[in-house]
Parts: sequence; C-alpha cells; structure tokens
Amino acid sequence: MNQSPRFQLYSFKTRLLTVLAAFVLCFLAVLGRIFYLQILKADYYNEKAKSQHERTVKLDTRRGIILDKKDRILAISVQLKSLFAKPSQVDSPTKVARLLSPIVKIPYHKLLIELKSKNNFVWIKRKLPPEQTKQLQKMNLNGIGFIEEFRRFYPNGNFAGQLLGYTGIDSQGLEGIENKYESLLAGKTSAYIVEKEGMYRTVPLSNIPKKTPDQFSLNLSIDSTIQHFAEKALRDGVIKTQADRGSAIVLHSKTGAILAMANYPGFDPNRYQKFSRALQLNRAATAGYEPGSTFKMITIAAALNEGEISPEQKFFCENGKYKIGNNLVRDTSSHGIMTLKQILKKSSNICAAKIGMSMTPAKFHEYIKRFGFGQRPNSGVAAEASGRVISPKYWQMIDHANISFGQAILVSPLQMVSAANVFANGGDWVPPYIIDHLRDKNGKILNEIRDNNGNIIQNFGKGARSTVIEASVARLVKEYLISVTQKGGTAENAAINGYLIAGKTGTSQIYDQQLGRYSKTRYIASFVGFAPASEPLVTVLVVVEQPRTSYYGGKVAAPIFKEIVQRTLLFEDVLPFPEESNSNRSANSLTVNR
Amino acid sequence: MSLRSIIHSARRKPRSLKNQYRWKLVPRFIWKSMQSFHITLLVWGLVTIGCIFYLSQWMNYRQVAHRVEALETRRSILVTKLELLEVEISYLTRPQRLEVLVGNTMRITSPNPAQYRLSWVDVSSDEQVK
Repeated sequence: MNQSPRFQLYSFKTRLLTVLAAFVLCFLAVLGRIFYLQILKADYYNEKAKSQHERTVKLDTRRGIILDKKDRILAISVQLKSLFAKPSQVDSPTKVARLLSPIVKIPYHKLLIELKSKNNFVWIKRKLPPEQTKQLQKMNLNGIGFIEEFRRFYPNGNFAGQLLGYTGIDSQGLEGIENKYESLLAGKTSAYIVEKEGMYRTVPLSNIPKKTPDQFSLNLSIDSTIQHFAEKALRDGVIKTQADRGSAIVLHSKTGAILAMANYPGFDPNRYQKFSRALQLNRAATAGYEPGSTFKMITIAAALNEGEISPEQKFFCENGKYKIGNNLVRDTSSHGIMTLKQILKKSSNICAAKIGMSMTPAKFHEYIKRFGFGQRPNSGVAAEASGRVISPKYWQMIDHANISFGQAILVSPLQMVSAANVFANGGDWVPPYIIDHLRDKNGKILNEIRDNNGNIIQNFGKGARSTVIEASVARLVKEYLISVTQKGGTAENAAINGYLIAGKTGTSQIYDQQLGRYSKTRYIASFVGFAPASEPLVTVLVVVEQPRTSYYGGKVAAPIFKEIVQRTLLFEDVLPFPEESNSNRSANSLTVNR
Repeated sequence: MSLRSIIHSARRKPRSLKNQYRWKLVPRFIWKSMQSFHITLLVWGLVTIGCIFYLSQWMNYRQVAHRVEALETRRSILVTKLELLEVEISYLTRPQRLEVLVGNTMRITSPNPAQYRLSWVDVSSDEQVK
C-alpha cells in the first residue's frame, strides 16, 4: 500500500488522539465512579465499613436491689462466671467435651457439636454456680474461658414471686416490679466501641467506662414477716378448702402501704421457665372478679351519704324472693323486715338491691367511681387491672340491682381492699402504694424522681387522700361491719378474742361463658375487713376461687383472714384487751399498743 | 551591675517614653536582669526548686492515685463478698425457714391472743388476792 507521508502523519495523529480520547474517557469514567462512591454514597459506605470493623460492646450492668420495708433483700444481682469456648483454639474437642460434660451437666454429644462448630465464639453455659466455676478454673483448658455476668437471685424463693416478677438471661426485667421499674433498676446502659482486628482481636476505640452506670435500689412497702403470715395462711386455707387458687392483700390502714400481697399457688422467680404463664400472674392486682356481698358496704354507704336512706329506716326483704322485671333475686335464707345493720349482718341481696335502686344509676355510678372502682389504683404494682364498671347509660333494672350486691361489676382485689379501707379511715380513700422509697448509689433516700428541669416525674410513698363519704357515715357502716363478725353474723369465723373486727363476707357466682349464665357450682369466696376496729392497723382482703368443701365467704375466706390478722396484730405489738372482744362490744373500746 | 542600678534604670522613664506605658520596660528589665549573675542564679534556682517541687507532687499524686485504685478494687471485691454474705443471711433467715426451725428445734409455736388475755387476768387476780 502506497501512502503519502501526510496521510501517514494524519493517520498517526488520529490514532494517537483516539487512544488519548479512550484514556480520557476511561479516566472520566473512573472519576465519575469515584465521585459516586466517595461523594454521593459516602454515608452509606461509611456506615457499612464501620459495621464491618467496629463493634459496640455493651457493659453488663448490675441491677439495683429490691428490699422490703425493713431492708431485707428480696432480689439482688450476684456476680457469676459464664463459660465460653473459642472452638478454633480448642486443642482436642473430644477430650474437652468429655472433661466438661459431667461438671456443667450438658450431654457429651451436644458439647462436642458446640466445640467443633465453625463459629469463633460459643457459649457453653452461662451463669455457672461458684462450685462449678472453681472446678473448671482448676482444669485450665485452652480455648475455654470465663466472662463475668450478673445473675438475679431471689433469696426467698417463691416468696412474693408474682409481685416481684423476674429478669431474663440478659438481666432485663420481664415481669412484675422488675419489669415495671426497669429504667430505675437497670440504670442507663453504657457501652464502648472496639475495632475488630485480624486474629479476631479487638482494640478499644473509646475509653472503657470505669464505673458501672448508676441505678437505684427499691424499698418496697412489703414486710417480709407479714407477707409470710399471709402466704402461709392462704396456702393452708386453699389446700384445706380444695380451692383452685387464692389471693390475699394486707394494707396498712392509715397509710395505704401494701404490707403483703400473696397469691397461691406460688411461683419461684429463680426458676421462672418451669412455671406456666397463669401461675406467673399477680392475681391480687391484675385479675378481676365479681365482689359479691362485700360490695354491699359500698351500696349502703353511698345511699346513707346521699341521704336516700336513714340509719333508723327498716326494709322489707321480701321473704327471700324478689322479682325485678323478668328476673328473680334470691337471698340464701328468707328474711322479713330488717334494719341496715341486720341487712349487712345477714347479707341480704334483696334489701341491698332495694337500697342501691333508691339512688339514680348516675349517682350510684359516681359513688362507685369515688370508691376507686373502674380505674387503676396506681399503687405501683405492675399490670394493675382497672376492673369493669358498666356505664350507667346502659344499666337495665337488673344490672342496677345486681351491682348493688356485687354482681355485674368486675373489680380487682386491690381495688376492693382499698375501697373497704375507706371505712377504716373515717370516709377517706387512701391510695395504696407498693414502693416506699428509692435509694441512689450513695444510699441517699429519695421519695421522688425529677427530670433535668427539676420537675417531678414520679412520686413514691404515701399519696394524697380523697374524701369519699362523710366521717359519720363511715363510722356508722363500721359499726354495722363489726356486727358481721359478732354472734349471728355471717363471719363469726373471722372474730378474734380480744380484738374488735369489722368486715364483710362475699360469695359470688362465677359467670360461665359456655352456659351463658352464672354457674351454680363455681363460686368465689371472699372476706374483707380491718382490725382492730377501734383503731384500725391493717385492712385485709382474702379471695378464694372455686373452693370445694364449702363456698361461703364466712366459712372459706374468714378463717384465713383471722389467721393473718391475729398473727399480724401480735407481730405489730397490738395486744388484745380483756374488755375488748367481739361479743357485742362497740368500736369505742380500747386496744393496747405496746 | 547591681540590683539597685537595674531597678533604678527600669524605674527611670526616658523622655522618649514619657507618654507611653511603663510595662514596655519589662523586656528591658528582664534583659538587664539576665546580665546579672546573681539574679540569673536566683531565678534559675527558683525555677529548679519549682520543678523539683512539682515533680515530687506529681510523683506523690501518681503514687496516691495508684494506692486509691488498688484500694477501690479491694473495696469492690469486699463489697461483692459482703453482698454475697447478705444474700446468704437473707436466705437463711427467711421467715418461712425460721418458723419451721423454731417449731422443730425449740418447740415454739406462733403466739395466740388467748395467751396475752390470760396474763391480764392473772395480774388482776393477783391484785385481788393481795
């Protein structure tokens, strides 16, 4: 081919320019890509890189202690060692598995699978008992190590188990007080960042906090000894009556402090996995039940306070049968004309219905609310039930009558005992509480928590009282309640020699969902009262579900009440007085307070 | 050059600086001072003593800090042990256990109000006898 020099030059230049252009294009493409990666997607790749070479190490925090009112430990975090393995560093998995298996009590083949796994880190057993740790430390095996962790320990076992709740494997509160006050007990979580290196080593990037985060200790209003009295009496009572379950609450009458909150069957938070969900519930605060006749004291007090009835008034109890619309209301035995005192003493449903219906539904509903029903008591107990009170707009005549003697209304045991406590406090509703005070890390006692601006976020201890009924009405109803435990009353079994006891029995039928009506075989027996009636110290409620030997509150729940109150009064140095007995004494008699 | 002459020269306000601030004489004062052996010796002596004092304080601080850290570690170990003992105490003195122990070993049952009522009657009857 004959080509002129000019052509050759032109051709060379063209080729050179083409190659140059190609390089420039490539360079521009690379620049564009760099711009895309470094500028446009910078944040995304930064995060991705960080996640690959950095790790946040959370510090295992020691939870605050839960104590009773006398500083006895109810829950505490104990430092224990957890066993881990780095399979790549274990010399002989079979030998190590054979050595570890009998000590940690894990089957050999399961251990071997873990030790042969391709993971860099595997837990073998967490939170080992100290004896096992000592044995394992002596072996000094390669690739096996320990990490210190905290384990929540409840020294009293199933003592107030449902109330306290429990924590999970990572020390997080899962139930009860442990869950409700998680932010206070666990404190603020602290962590530090480490950089991952080759050989799976880590280098701290930020300073490791020297001190564990601050947390609070909680002092409950519970008294361990009184809690024991309540649990023991309840257990014995439930077993004796062959009941399904029971609950008992002991309130300090004047302050509203919850001194005991017991449920049977019990639950051990140390081994929470072994108990069913139903047993973990604190039924004394979370369950709703129809209070039955114990509610009559509310009906009578409301009607007296409203002036709809007078103390001297007499009522005809229809000889045991009373028709309201198409429904029939019955008494357990036929009664004729009775006074208010007799109505409570003999627990007449018909007369209670008549008294309740003397008020308008709206007014009666207002009193029910004032006694604390239909709303959470805000005592600080976890998962409190608010109960269920039908709006007066939807009340039919039979609902009005039923509510008057404690049916067609759902209340929690805590609400009921707080309502009965009104009569022990001269007509004032005293809010119940479970947290007495907090302690910070320096042991300083706190009764409130404030935010950074100094505003109070949460209060602990005694709350503000509210007047529900007049003191004269409360005194009158108290007199009637004393008669209930005296000769001829429904709760003679609650009487204690040397003390005046005021209270009311309750026997309510359980509503059967399948039958669509109240069961004729399943009952809830209850008793609520306070003692000594002259100067009330404790207000106690006992609820027993589905007893089988007898179903009357006076026969099932009253003896349990008696046992709890008798032991509590003597424990609190309230001595019996020879002149004060339940046989026809008035509330003005004396008690000796040593 | 004596100290007196240095101070005198520093105090003397030159005509050119009549209306100016005297702090401008400070570098001159330092320079003049540096020219004096005694004053230099004094200054450096003070600086050396200061350094030695600071060093000793710093070493003392380090030593104390180390001791405090060791004591804090020891304290935390003791606190942990104490807490374990407290747990043990509360486990061993739980009311349900004590009640059983007292019943089994000392044959003591829980008190009954009737016992107290009896003692009241006893007292009154004694008085009547007397």
